[in-house]
Amino acid sequence: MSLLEIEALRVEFPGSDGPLAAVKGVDLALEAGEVVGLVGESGSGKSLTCRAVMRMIPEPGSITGGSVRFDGSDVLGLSTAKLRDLRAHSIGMIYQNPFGSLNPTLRVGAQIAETLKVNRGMSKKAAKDESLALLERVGIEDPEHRYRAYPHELSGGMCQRVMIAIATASSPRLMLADEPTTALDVTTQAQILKLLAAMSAEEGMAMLLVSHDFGVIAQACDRVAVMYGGHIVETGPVETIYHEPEHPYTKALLNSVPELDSAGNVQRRAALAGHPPELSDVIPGCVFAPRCEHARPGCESISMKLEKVGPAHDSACPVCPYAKANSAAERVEA
Amino acid sequence: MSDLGGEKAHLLEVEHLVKEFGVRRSVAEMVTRTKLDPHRAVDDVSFTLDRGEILGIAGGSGSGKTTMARCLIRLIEPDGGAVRVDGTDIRKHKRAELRELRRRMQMVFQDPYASLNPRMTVGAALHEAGKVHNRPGSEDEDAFVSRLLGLVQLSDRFAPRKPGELSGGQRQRVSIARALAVDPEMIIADEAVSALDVSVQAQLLNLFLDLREELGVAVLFISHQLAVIAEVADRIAVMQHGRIVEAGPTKEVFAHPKDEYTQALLRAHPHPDPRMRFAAN
Amino acid sequence: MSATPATPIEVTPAAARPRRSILGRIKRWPTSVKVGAGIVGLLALAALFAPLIAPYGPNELDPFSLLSSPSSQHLFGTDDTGRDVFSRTLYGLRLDIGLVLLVTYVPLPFAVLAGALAGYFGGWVDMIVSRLADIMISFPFIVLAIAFVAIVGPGVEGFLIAVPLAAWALYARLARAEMLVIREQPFMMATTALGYSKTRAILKHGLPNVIRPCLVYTTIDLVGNLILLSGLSYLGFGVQPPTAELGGIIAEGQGYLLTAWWIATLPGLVLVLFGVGVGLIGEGFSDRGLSRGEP
Repeated sequence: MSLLEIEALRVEFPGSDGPLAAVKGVDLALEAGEVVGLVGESGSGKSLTCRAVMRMIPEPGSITGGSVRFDGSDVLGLSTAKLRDLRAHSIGMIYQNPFGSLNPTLRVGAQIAETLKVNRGMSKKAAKDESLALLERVGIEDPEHRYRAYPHELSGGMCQRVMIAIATASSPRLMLADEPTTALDVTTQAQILKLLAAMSAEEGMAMLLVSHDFGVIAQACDRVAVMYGGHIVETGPVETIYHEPEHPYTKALLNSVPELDSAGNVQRRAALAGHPPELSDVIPGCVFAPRCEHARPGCESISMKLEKVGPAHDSACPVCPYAKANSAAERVEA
Repeated sequence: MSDLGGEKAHLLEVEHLVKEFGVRRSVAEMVTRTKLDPHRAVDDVSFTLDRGEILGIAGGSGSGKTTMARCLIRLIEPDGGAVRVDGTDIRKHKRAELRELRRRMQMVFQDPYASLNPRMTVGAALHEAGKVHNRPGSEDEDAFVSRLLGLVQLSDRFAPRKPGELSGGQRQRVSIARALAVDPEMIIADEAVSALDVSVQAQLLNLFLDLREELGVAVLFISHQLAVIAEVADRIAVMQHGRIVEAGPTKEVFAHPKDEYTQALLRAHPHPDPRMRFAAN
Repeated sequence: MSATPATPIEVTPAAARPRRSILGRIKRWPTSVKVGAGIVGLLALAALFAPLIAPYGPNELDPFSLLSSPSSQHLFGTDDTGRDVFSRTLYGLRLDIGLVLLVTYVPLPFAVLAGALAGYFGGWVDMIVSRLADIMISFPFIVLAIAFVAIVGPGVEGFLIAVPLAAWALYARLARAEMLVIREQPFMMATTALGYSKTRAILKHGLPNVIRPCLVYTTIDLVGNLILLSGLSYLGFGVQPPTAELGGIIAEGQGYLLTAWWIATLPGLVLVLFGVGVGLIGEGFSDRGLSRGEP
């Protein structure tokens, strides 16, 4: 039994002509201690999938289908009290905007201490001591001093560390990280990713890391699920996905990722035409077919079911245009 | 210091550019009248850009790159230094001459959603730019707009649309078309692709390269992402705390970075190949 | 190397869906706006065509039906001098709506321009406009209106002067605040980069974006001004009898509230209905973010 099992998850938003599906039947499983990346562009549904795990879909969206099981128990059917308990102790979440996620009118130390007092029932003194320990744990120097700081007095990176401290205060078994480094400088990003990887390894904490940046995913994750248009189109170990992608979208996405090695060799890349589908676009069959250079006549009637294409490697593309030997690192000359 | 005959002047020559902002004082500092040095967002920046060249400006937040870019076209007034377009210092001019100099250096901004007037159609915005500067061909609105849309690879059907109906990538193309409407010699792209999806970003990078090839437009490409700069820039200047800490051909700077900050940036770059993970510690 | 792609990007099917038709746009209005627009539209039409619809003149006397209750002859009954209350209501509505539209929308462009200039330029322009606006706003509105009426004498002139004098400040402030935000948007910076004159930047690019929230506010203002006008007339300071005006009719009917309730109540309900209609429109639009020009 996996730590987290998502099956046929469906998230919808109300639209003027009927509900619009943002997540259209997603299957995903996470084992204890595993770091899984969810990568995709706008409208892929990756962020909503992540939030669905804690039932934190923003209004007016709602989960309209499928199941989410954490440690065997059904999350979608939990009572409010049990859900709160789940969020307090078992699952933690960190977000993209480090400043917006902290209360600007409270000192950061107080915010960490609050979660300790409320969720772990600590006394005031014990909470303060533990908060200082947590600040140190997440790599904030001079914790005594920083404890009394307000969020606006700290840098983005430090606020993010505080957020991590708050989220990990109860030693959750699963951490949901929704674009945690997107708003940070690249050097800070590297530090935060290292911190998350270290905490995951030390605490045995599983992590679902959502990002649009494949570099971030590659640095931190064991497995990757690639999302497009509300569906997962490919899953597999991160190395396999990078070096031997099977789904045309994955390959195109990887081809679009800019590389330092292009320096001195400036030239056009074969870029994917068009743009990711809007919520209101209804595309029959394969959602990627309109932009796919390998599309075949049957593609408008396939379901987006994931099929096995290798050990622990699934793809939703029945066409399978690539031989296993193709390396995704090779730039495609148009 | 204009060139006398012989050697052609650089298209853009920036010399010792400075921009200071007033310091925010705490109550204690105000009461004790502590003398504080104003904060230099742009601290003695010098570089050149030649015709048809793409120069990348890299740096994190607080590096001053956006402030510097705005100083170049006097969106913000610099406090010191010179900005020369073909030898003429833009700081010394007003009104008509200023407008003409500005015409030659156009800017494309980061936010696709706020860069276009939401109440104006694409065609109207493009035509307005041409009309204000009396560009040849701007008398025939349809043909003028059609040509510009073609340059950025959009069909004519976009002309009657308003920005709200376009995707982020399409809006950026329209912003670029608007910049091209006045026949600039240089485009300053201030994080112009940073807000776009990766696949769309790749298209826009191709577009910049196409424009350089077809129109000979030079580009000052500002980005916090080194890999993006690597894809388009011939040369790169790295900024930190308002200063240029390293500059040179992109390949050279990436292969042999001399400055500590550049080295830190390169080390921190998250390589998409999982086999190249950050070395543990 | 690769050549420029031959086929240009086409407009996506979603964007190609025709959104131009007026009917289509109206259909997408929120329900509250539709209801409000319906009410206001009906009342406005009735007011406009009052001379055609009204069964009697506003001051036509029917000596055989004094204080008669509503009937098929007199829909709203008659007052103490035999005048048909329904006709008077229609004519009163006509006058009221006309005056209130005048007083709300005529000064609007000047106020919005002043505020927009203050927001765009800052400096002494802002200082002058803002200080003037602050002075006007600090006066209690009713006191101001009554003071003017006291100076100018009873009659509609007092109202017509006092209201714009006070209301401009609110619109100027609103426009200034909007402009402060718009000014920082990249598309406004682009007008400078593109070498456009400041005049063009403010009038062609700034104002159209600034005016939307102001227009939404006018719906609240309309109702307020209507109440004010009726209130002033009720107090005897506004429109003078025997001219039909809603507030005036209500004042005249006040003494008969227990015996001939229809004289004051029915015109009063019409007044309320109009206010509700306008309010629904304003609220519906601002709820949907249409004040910021979002689809």
